[in-house]
Amino acid sequence: MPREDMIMPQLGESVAEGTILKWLKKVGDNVAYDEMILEISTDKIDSEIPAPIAGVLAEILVEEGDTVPVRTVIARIETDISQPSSVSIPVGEDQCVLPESKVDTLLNDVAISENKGEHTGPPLQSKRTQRFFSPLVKRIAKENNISLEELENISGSGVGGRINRQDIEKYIASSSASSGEVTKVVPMDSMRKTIAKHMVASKKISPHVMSVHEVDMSAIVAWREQWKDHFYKKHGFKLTYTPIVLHCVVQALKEFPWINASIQGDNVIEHRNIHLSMAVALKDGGLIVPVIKNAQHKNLINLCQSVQELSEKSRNKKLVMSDLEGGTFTVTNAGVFGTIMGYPIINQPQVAILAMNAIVKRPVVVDGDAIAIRSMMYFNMSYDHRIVDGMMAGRFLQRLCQLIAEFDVSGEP
Amino acid sequence: MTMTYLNAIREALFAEMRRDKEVFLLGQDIAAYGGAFKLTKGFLEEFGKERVIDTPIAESAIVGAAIGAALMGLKPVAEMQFSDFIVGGFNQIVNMAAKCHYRWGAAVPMVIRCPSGGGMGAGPFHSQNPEAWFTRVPGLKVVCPGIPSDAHGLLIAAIRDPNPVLYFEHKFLYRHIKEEVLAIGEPIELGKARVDRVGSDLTIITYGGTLRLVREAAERLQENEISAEIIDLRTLIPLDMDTVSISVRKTNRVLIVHEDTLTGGFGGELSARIAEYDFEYLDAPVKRIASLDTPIPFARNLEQAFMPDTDQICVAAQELAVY
Amino acid sequence: MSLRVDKALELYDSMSRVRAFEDRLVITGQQGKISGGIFTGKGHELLTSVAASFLNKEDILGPTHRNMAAHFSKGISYLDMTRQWLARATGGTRGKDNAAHLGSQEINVFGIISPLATMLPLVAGAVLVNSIRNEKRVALTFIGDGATSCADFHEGLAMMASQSLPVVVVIENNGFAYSTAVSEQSRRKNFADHSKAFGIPSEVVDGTDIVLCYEAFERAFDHVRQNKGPYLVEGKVWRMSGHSLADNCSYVPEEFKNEAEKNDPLLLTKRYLLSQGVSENKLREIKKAWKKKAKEVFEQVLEEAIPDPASVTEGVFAGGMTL
Repeated sequence: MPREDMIMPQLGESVAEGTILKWLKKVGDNVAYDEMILEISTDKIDSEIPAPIAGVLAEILVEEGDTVPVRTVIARIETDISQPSSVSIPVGEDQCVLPESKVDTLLNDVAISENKGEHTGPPLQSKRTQRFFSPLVKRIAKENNISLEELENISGSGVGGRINRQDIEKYIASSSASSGEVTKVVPMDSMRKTIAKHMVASKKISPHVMSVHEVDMSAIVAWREQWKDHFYKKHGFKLTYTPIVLHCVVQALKEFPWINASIQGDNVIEHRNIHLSMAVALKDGGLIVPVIKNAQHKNLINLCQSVQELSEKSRNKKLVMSDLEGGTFTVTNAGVFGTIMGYPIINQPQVAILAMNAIVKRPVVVDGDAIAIRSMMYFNMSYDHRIVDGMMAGRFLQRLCQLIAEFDVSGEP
Repeated sequence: MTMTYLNAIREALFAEMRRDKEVFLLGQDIAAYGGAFKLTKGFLEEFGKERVIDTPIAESAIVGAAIGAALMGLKPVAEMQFSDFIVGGFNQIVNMAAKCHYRWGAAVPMVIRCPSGGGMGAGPFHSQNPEAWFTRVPGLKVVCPGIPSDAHGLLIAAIRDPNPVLYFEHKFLYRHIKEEVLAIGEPIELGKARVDRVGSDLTIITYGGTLRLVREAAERLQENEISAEIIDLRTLIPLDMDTVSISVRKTNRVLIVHEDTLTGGFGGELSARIAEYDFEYLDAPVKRIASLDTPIPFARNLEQAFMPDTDQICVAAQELAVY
Repeated sequence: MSLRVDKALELYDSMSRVRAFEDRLVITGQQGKISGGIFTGKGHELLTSVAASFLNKEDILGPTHRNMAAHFSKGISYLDMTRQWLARATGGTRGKDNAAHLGSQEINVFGIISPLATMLPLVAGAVLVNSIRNEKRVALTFIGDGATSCADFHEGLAMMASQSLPVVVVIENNGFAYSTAVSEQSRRKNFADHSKAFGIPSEVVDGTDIVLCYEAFERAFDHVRQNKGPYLVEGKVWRMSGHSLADNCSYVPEEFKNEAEKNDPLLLTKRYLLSQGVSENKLREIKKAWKKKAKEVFEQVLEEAIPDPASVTEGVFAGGMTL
C-alpha cells in the first residue's frame, strides 16, 4: 500500500517554519480526505491542517511542540487508492509545495512540468498549479509580484472557489505593497518572539521622531456620556473614543497622503486606501494589531462596529490572516491604561503611528486669560523622518485636533 | 425627430437621392408598388422611372447591373427583396464586386440593401441573417444597424462610400422600434462601433436585431445589480476592435449576442480576436448567444425556441458576472 | 455593300495584331514563363475585330476570355496586355489577377473574371448612364456558346430586354465548351434562338466572313444606337486552339481540326483582300510588323519588375483602407 508524504505547509509569504501544536489524530487512525488532523503555529497565524488524502495515519514524524522548516515531511498517510505520484510537485528552492487539498482528476492526465530551479522569466508561466487562474488574474499577480504559491492560498469567491479579479485585488489591497517585512503579531509564545524581532527591526529601519499635540475633548466627552446608552441599545455595540478619533484620523489622512504611505527604495508609495491598524492589547499579555480595511468608506457607526468586532475577534483568537495585513496607518490607545503620553514604535512598513492617551481633567487657559477645567488628551505621533518632517507631522496633528474640536456633537451619533 | 427604423431608412434614401442625381434604386417591385415593405413608396413619383427601376426576378442581374453602373460612376442602391435571396447574386457579389478594385483599380460604389432577420413567423426563406457569409470576403463592407439613427446615418455613409457595401436592415425593427434621429441627412462613419450603454461588470457585444433584446436584458440585470456595458458593433466590416477592446479590458467578461446562427456566425470571429488581443484581461470565457444551428423553423413557438431571447441573455450574463 | 477596302484592311490589321500577340503569348507560355491558364481567341479574331470596330471611345466593352482583339481595338496596348499576362508590377492588375482580366475605366473596358457570363449584367447596368446622365453610350459584350447555359446569360438578357438597353451581345459559337461539343450542350440549332425567349432580335452570321460579319454588326449597332433595345448576334467560328494551352484537344475530331485550319479567318480575309486588289506584300508587311512588335514587347516586359510583396494588401478597399 502506498504511503503519501504530508509536509509542513507554508501559510504565507516569508514564513519559513512552523510548530506542531497538536496532533488531532494518532497513528493508526483513519483519516478522511480533508479532515483536520493537526494544528500548527507560525509567526503569522495558527491554523488547522487537513489531511491531503484519505487513508490511515501511518507515521507521525514530528512531535507536538517541535518546530520544523516548511516542506519538511511531518507525517505519512497510507492509502489504498493508488494515486499518481503527483502529490508533491517538483519545485525549486524558493518555491514551496502545499498539501493537496484536492486531487484534480485533470492532474492525472497532464504531465507535470519540471521546475528548473531559479526563475528567470515571469513566475507564473508554464507552471503546474492545482487551481485554474484566469489570464486576467495571472497578469494582475505578475504585475504585483504575487507568486504562484500565494495565489494558491488566496480564497476565491468565484464559481468553484475560483479567484476572480475582485478576490486578487482585495488580496493586494490587504497585503503590503513593498517586499519588506510586515509587522504582524500573532498570539502565543511565538507571538512574543515575533513582536520582539519586529520592534527591533522597526527602530533600525525608521529614524523615529515624535510630535505631541493636545486637544480639548470636553465636548466629545459630554456628548458621548449623553448618547452612549442609547447608542448601545440601538446598535448592539459601543460608542467609544477610539472610533471617534479614528473618524477624524481618516479625514486628516486624506489630506496628508504622505502619512498614509510606505517607502520602497527611493519611492514613496502613497496608498489610496486607508486601512487603519488598531492596536489591541490582549488579556494574557501580548499585542495584536488588526486592520480596519477601507476606513475611508466607513462612517462613525461603521467604525464603532469595526472597532468592537476586531477587538472581540482579537480576544477570541478569531482573527484571520487578512485581518492582520495591509494596514497603512496605526492608532494605539494607551489611554485605557492611564498613560498620558507615550512613544510608540512605528508599525512597519507604515511611516507613522498615532497614540491617543488618557483623557484627564486639567486646568487650562481659555477665552483669553481665564482658567477652566477641561478634559484634555495628548495625541503623540511617532513618524519616520525619512519622509515625514516635523512640519508635516505638526500640521497633520494640528488638523486632527481641529477635526476633533469641530466634531459634530449637536445631535445623535 | 422621432421616427421608425423603416422611416429612418426612407429618409436616408430621400436625402441622398435629392442630394446626388446619380444615386438610383433598382430592385423588384420597388417602383409603382413601393416595395414589398412599402419602403420606397413615393420614390417613383419624385424621382422618375430612370432612377427607380423595377427589375425582373434576377438577383444576379440586379447585383451585376448595379456593379456595371457603379463602374461608370453612378451610385446604385440595389435591393434584395429578402436577404435570403441574396444567394442568387452571390457570384456577382463575391467574385465581381468585391474584387474589382483590388484587381484593376476600379471602385464599385454600390449598396445592396437586404431586409433580413426573423421573429415574424416568416419561415426558413424569409427570415435569415446572411451577413456572416460576406464578412469573410475581402473587399466588401458589411453594415448592420440596430436603431433608427444608425440605420439612417449608416445608409447615407454606405451610399457615399466608394466600396460595395452590404446593408442588412432588420425587418422586425422596421416598425417595432421608434427613436430619435437627430442628424437627418448626415452620415455616420462606417467602421465605428457604439457604446450603447456604459457598464462595469460585463460587456455584451451585439448588433442588428438583437440590440433591443440586449437592452432589455441590461435593464433587468441592473435590477439584480449587475452592470452590463453594451457595445453595438453597427458595422461588422470594417470591424472596430478598439472600442471592443477598451470595453473588454475594463469589464474582463464578454458575452456576444447575435441573431445569426451560432456556427460560423460573426461572434466566432469576434471571440477569436478578443481571445487573441485581450487574453490577459479575461476573467471568464468569452460566451456567445446565437440562434440554434438549424434552418429557421416556421411555427411561431419553434421559431422562438430557435432564436435568442432576453431570458437567455440574462442567464448567460449572470453566470459570467459571478464566474 | 458597305464594307470598303480600306476598312477591310484596317480590320485585317486588327486581326493580325491580335494573332501576332497570341502566337508570341503561346510561345512564351510554352517556355514556362506564364502561370495559370493561357487562353487565346485563335479563330475568333475576325468576329471580335469587326464587332469591336463599331465601338466609339465612350462605348462600353464587356469582353470574355477570347476577345483580346477587342481589348486592343479599344485602346489597350501590347505593353499593357503583356505586362498583365506576365504579372508585372506595372500590369493592368499589378499582378493581382491573371490572363486578360485587366480593365480600364478610362477607355470603358471592364475587367473580366473567371466565372462565365458574369459580364452581361454588368454592361446592362453600365448603359443606365444613358437614362440617368443623359448620355448616348452603347455596350458590346461577348459570351461563348457554353456560357449561354449560365444563369447570368439569361438574367442578363432579361435585364437588358426589360429595360430595353442598348447592348450588342455576341455569342461566339466555336463548336466547343472546353471538351463539350456544342451538340452535347443543347438541343437548339442556333444559340441565337435564345433571343426569341426574350423578345429581342438576333441573327446568325458566319464569323469567318468579313463582309457578312460587317453587315451583321452594322445592323446590330444601328439597332442599338436607335434605342431599339438589345441585339443578339451569334457568330459561328472555329476554335483553332485547345480550350487553353494545357488542353491536348484529344476530343476534337480530325475533321474539325482540318476545317478549322481551312477556315482560319486571317487566311480567308487575306484571300478576300487580295481579290479586292490589295497587294500580297502589303499584307505580309502587316503580319511581319506585328510579329516583330510582339516579340520585342515580350522581351522588354520579361525584363521588367515583378510586384513588390508589400503591395499584396493594397487596394482591397477604394479610399485607401485595408482590413
